[in-house]
Amino acid sequence: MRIRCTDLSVHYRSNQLPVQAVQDIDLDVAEGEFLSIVGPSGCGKSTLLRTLAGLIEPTRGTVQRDGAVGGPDRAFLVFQENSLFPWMTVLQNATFGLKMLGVGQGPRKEAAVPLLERFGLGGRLANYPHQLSVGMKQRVAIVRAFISRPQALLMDEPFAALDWLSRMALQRELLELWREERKTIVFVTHDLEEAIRLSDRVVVMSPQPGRIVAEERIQIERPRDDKVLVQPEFLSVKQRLLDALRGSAAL
Amino acid sequence: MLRFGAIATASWIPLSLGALWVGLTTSGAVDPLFLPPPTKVWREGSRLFSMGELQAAIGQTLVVMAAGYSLGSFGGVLAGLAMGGSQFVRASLDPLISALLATPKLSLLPLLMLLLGLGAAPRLSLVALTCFLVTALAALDAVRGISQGYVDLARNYGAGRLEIFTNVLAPAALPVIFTGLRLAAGRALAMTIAVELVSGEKGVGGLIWVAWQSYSTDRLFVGLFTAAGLGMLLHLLLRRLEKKAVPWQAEA
Repeated sequence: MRIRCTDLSVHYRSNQLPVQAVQDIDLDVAEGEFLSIVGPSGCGKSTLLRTLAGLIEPTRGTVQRDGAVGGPDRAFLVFQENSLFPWMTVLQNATFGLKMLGVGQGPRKEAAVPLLERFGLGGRLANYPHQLSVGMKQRVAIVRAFISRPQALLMDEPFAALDWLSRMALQRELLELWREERKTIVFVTHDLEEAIRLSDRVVVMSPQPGRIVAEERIQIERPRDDKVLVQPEFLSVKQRLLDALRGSAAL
Repeated sequence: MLRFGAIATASWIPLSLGALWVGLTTSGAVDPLFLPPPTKVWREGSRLFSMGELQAAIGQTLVVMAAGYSLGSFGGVLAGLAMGGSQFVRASLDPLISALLATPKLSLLPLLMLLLGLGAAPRLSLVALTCFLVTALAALDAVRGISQGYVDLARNYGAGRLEIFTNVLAPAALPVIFTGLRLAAGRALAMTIAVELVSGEKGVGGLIWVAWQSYSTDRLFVGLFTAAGLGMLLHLLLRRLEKKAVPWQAEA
């Protein structure tokens, strides 16, 4: 799915005061592209993502989401927390999207189990989320998004609550899935290294109002393993983005 | 190990109180008229049981309680859900509920007897009213406590209104509603016995009242222990039910 927003602004009221969450955003995410949005807290990244998902109406401007072949419009969100329904088991959570598509119970299970097994959740199908670690929960959420016949994934700091090692593991797993499926991914994070490692392109947002202030295309060769983090090329991209971030937040 | 520890922790206070009771009554420190020895209470309990009086009292209390509880809780949950779903319903019911909440429900009994006669109806409606208030507030809280994130998530996956209700709203609200149902059951039992006590009815409350009137403290204690035992059983039963109905809750 190609996602385009033109001249996009979102305002809302908080305690009666108008807040300009995002302003004048022009963004074009290509089919199959992995794009990350980084920025300090309160720069409107989450608002932008929810607007792309259609959960928030833009105050001005447009969001255009072009399905692959005029099919249904399916862009799924993955949240940082509360990403799973606490009252559903792992299997029920993972197959929720297919259930909403009207897929029967048998085929739903067939679609979910191999992927859950691959992520080490094979023995946990009947568990409830409160019995899982944060990393396992996020894996289930990612499996759910990937098997629900998505055209794009919109991920809102999905790994922010993870410890460093689990985060590295999930980044690796996400990249593998993305390489196989080639779905468009818009990934919001405040972790610069995560953004660089994962993405084809990184955009930097500044707060109040949230605008795009810098953009960097990441040319580093894929697949990118953990060692990429100390490559000179990686470090120079990181330096440039850090400067942009610093300028934007006036730190 | 853990189980034994839990049992020990839960029972040391009742056991110590029991020991104190035995000590006080066998040493002759208190007049048996005020505090009968456990053996005497047990004998009176067995006598009432063998005559069927105890079962009859329990039966009558439970029937009124169950009827009032089911009516009141059903209505209360519905009203609470409606209040959670509609600002209009909430604003309309709010004054009535806050007025009733602060009123000692028992003080409504004379009025209800005037309106509904002297049969079971006034007792039953008082129990129902008590349950209604508790469960309505719980259901309202339950609906208001649902995180918008879950609704967004379901919508994002294409869930319609009905699917959101069955997959998100209903299960998300269930744990809090259950807490209300559990609270209401205890209140219902207490209210039933209180009404029996003041209206000279049979039932466990009646048993206690008659015992007090005739200075049979042993029977008084039988009544009190019966009431306490019923309360505990009820609580355990609802806990069980809750675990079945809400299996996703983390152990508290």
